[in-house]
Amino acid sequence: MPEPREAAHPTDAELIARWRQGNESAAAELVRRHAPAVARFLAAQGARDDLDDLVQETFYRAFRRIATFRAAASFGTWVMAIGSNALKDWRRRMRRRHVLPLDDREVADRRNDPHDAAVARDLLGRLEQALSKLPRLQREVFLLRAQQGAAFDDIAAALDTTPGAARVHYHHAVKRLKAILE
Amino acid sequence: MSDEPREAFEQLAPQLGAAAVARLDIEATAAGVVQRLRADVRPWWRNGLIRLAAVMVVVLGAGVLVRSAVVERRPTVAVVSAPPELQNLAVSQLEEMLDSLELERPVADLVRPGLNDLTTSELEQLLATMEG
Repeated sequence: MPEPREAAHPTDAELIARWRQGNESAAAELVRRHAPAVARFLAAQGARDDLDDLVQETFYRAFRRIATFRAAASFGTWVMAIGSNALKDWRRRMRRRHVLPLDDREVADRRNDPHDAAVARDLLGRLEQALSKLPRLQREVFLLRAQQGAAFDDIAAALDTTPGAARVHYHHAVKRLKAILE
Repeated sequence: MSDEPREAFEQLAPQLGAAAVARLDIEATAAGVVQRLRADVRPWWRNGLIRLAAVMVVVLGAGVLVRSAVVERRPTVAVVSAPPELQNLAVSQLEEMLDSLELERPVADLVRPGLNDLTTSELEQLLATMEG
């Protein structure tokens, strides 16, 4: 007899409810589930050496203010918005920014072609540098949409804006990235 | 750069930060988060004591403020009873006494407009105040 779905693979909402009742393993499971995406989101904004600490700080803040979470946004997107604030505070404290030289960047090579991989690595490095020149909101909307695949409704709820405004920010981000990279 | 930058960016963007994530220790991160959250949870009685202490500080502070306000508003001129020998003097005699004190500004000028309205005991009190 198959186990009930809730026990086998609880949804985020179910895990959140359990955490609110004091279940620590529910909190740990939410971290396991969303930490990789949150880490990619933060790394794309320049977090490197402090990534572990920053991801931990992001989830700690999220669980501390879980009472303010409304299901209008998905939990993952909401946590990423908190992560952006944590990154901003982190940078302010550190007074320095971690940007690795391009040679240290690694690109997943799915084509097994050294030339294509080199071109992709170069383009990815330039894209990351160009992203750092975008206004914060444009950068966040771009990453949530293009990197995380979030819907504009979800992005809007997490960033406390409207879906229409999120679309406009995305449009401007793409336009600006293109101008910078050209 | 592709003619369709949006598509190109959307193909590339998922790879951003991929290498950094490969180095992330997810279990250690989860354990660290739980540990920090656990440190935040205090026993109920400790929260109660903190609240009680906060209330006491507020009450004591308010008490000090009220007390200082009351002390400031208390009259600084002491009321002194007049000597018995002054109690039999007439108003005109009291006025002469006031003038004889040779103050920089004649006391009679200050008090005369209303002097006739004062009772004997009020005049005696006024004299006693000036003598003190």
